Amino acid sequence: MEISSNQALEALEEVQDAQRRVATLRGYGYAAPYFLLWGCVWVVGFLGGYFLPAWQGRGWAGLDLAGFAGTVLIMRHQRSVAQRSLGVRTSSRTFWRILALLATAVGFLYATYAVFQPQRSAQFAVFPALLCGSIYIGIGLWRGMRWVVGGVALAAFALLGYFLLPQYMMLWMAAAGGGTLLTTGFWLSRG
Amino acid sequence: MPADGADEIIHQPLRLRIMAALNSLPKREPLDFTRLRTSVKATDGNLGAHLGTLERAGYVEIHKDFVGKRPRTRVSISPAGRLAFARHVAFLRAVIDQGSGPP
Repeated sequence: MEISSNQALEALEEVQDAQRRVATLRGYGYAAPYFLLWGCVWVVGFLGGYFLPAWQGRGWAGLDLAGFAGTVLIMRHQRSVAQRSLGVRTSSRTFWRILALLATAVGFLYATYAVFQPQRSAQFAVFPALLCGSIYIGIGLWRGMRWVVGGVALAAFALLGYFLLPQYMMLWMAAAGGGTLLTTGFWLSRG
Repeated sequence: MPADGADEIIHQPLRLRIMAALNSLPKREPLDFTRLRTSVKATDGNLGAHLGTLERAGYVEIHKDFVGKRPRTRVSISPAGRLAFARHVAFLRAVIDQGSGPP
């Protein structure tokens, strides 16, 4: 076979491009269950906040714990699948890094509430969405456009609800916030 | 196997992308057909045809099963496929290094 150096270079660029796309899609596949899980948490949490305002404090604490437990279960399952596929024990570093990132985000959230003392429920509702949206956009700059789109949508819907529908913020966040997480999760799970 | 490592089966553009995508996965890990199609930018029919060629050459393995009631097709690269791909990539790099071949 005779090919030119330009043709060989183009072929190697195609190789790298295909490898990058596979890595991105695999990353989407790993992330999808977490979006679906937390989408459900948000739908239940914000609906509870709208219909049972007195329930919010304990309710969200319980839901967040359930969300963390679900996150750990998903991570253990994914690690177990990867180990079966490779036939060797995989490192637990990623597992602990993700948990640490989650704990950091939650810690930042509650520290910010403690410092700024929000007075209205709409403020409590909008801030996690802005925080998560910003994190997803940041992740997406390295890990793929679907993260960016999900993050922008989440933040944009949150701000729309805060400024245009503050009296219905909980209901809005259940539909738009939880809905965005669920939609992003389904999108990430597809090829 | 060609003496210079070049592989005309792998060199076809879509098959090259398929082999590159599958080779980037850890050993024995298959890739879902849908994700493979998105990764290599192919249609279902086109991908299926080229996978058939690669399977007949012994370069890929196609796994069909069910998830619940939904059929699932996954593809993995074979050991012979990894070797052939590595040799072909080495051939491409050699061509670039030498700056040889017709313009």
